[in-house]
Amino acid sequence: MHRFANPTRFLRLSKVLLPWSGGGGVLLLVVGLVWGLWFSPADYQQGETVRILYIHVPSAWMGLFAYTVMAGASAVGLIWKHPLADLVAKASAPVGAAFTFVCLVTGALWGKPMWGTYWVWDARLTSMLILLFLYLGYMALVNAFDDPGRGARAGAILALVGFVNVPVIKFSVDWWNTLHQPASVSRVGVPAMALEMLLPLLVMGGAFMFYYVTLLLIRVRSEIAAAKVRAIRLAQGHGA
Amino acid sequence: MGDFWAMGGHGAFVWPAYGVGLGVLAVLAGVSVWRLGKREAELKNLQASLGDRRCVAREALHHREDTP
Repeated sequence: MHRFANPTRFLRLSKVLLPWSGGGGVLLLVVGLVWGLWFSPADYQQGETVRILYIHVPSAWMGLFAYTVMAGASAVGLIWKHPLADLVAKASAPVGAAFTFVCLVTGALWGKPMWGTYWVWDARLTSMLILLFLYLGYMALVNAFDDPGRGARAGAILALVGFVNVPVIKFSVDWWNTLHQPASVSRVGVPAMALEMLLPLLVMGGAFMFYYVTLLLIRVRSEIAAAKVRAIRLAQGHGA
Repeated sequence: MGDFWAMGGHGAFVWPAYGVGLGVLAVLAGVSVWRLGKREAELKNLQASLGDRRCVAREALHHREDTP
């Protein structure tokens, strides 16, 4: 893994990967949308609103996954002072924030017809909202310093402290008696979901994963370019 | 087809959910690609101007060596 963590190697590798991750993401998204919106059956209790599942659940997964990547990369950046790790953490944050926002909005639009309300201060919903604030706080903090190294360090500490929220979100439906339903895909044993709904859900999950990887590669490339511009400008400033 | 858009009377919830969701992801993707293009172009320009300046410096050096 360390071999790929060199910026020049990263630029070369990401150039090869980008068309595949982008193309794969679009393909899976089209298949998942048609399957989820058209071919999958309506739920016997929830009717057609169950189709919100195919966008709500994958965005929740990816909101948590992107945070985990951000915290992991922050730890690597703090401990080994790896320059790419800081950039990965920084690049992951807006993508994760977007997923978390989509999860909250689609959840509200699902809650209204099923629970009778857009929002409740239930443990799952509240902890997910905190996740969004952690992302926004991280992004504000990282960009608040003139020295990008100091920004990355401050952000990394926030990301690691905030990571405690991730298991809280995951287990909130088990620890508290919430309005939000408990996990039905990652249960021990058989998933409590019909295969004709589980499969399009997994396809949409795959599409979102490809989207995340694509955007991460694009944004890290963008950060590398920005760092080089900054370095040249600094050198010119000193030279003049 | 009308049934499909009606979503069993819940179209007002299902379609906005997909609209907002895919819209947010599309905008973020667009902004990210645009910013990458802008930064790479800026870097290229800077590197090109640095290269030019080095050329000018080298030529000036040669010129000085030529003239006794």
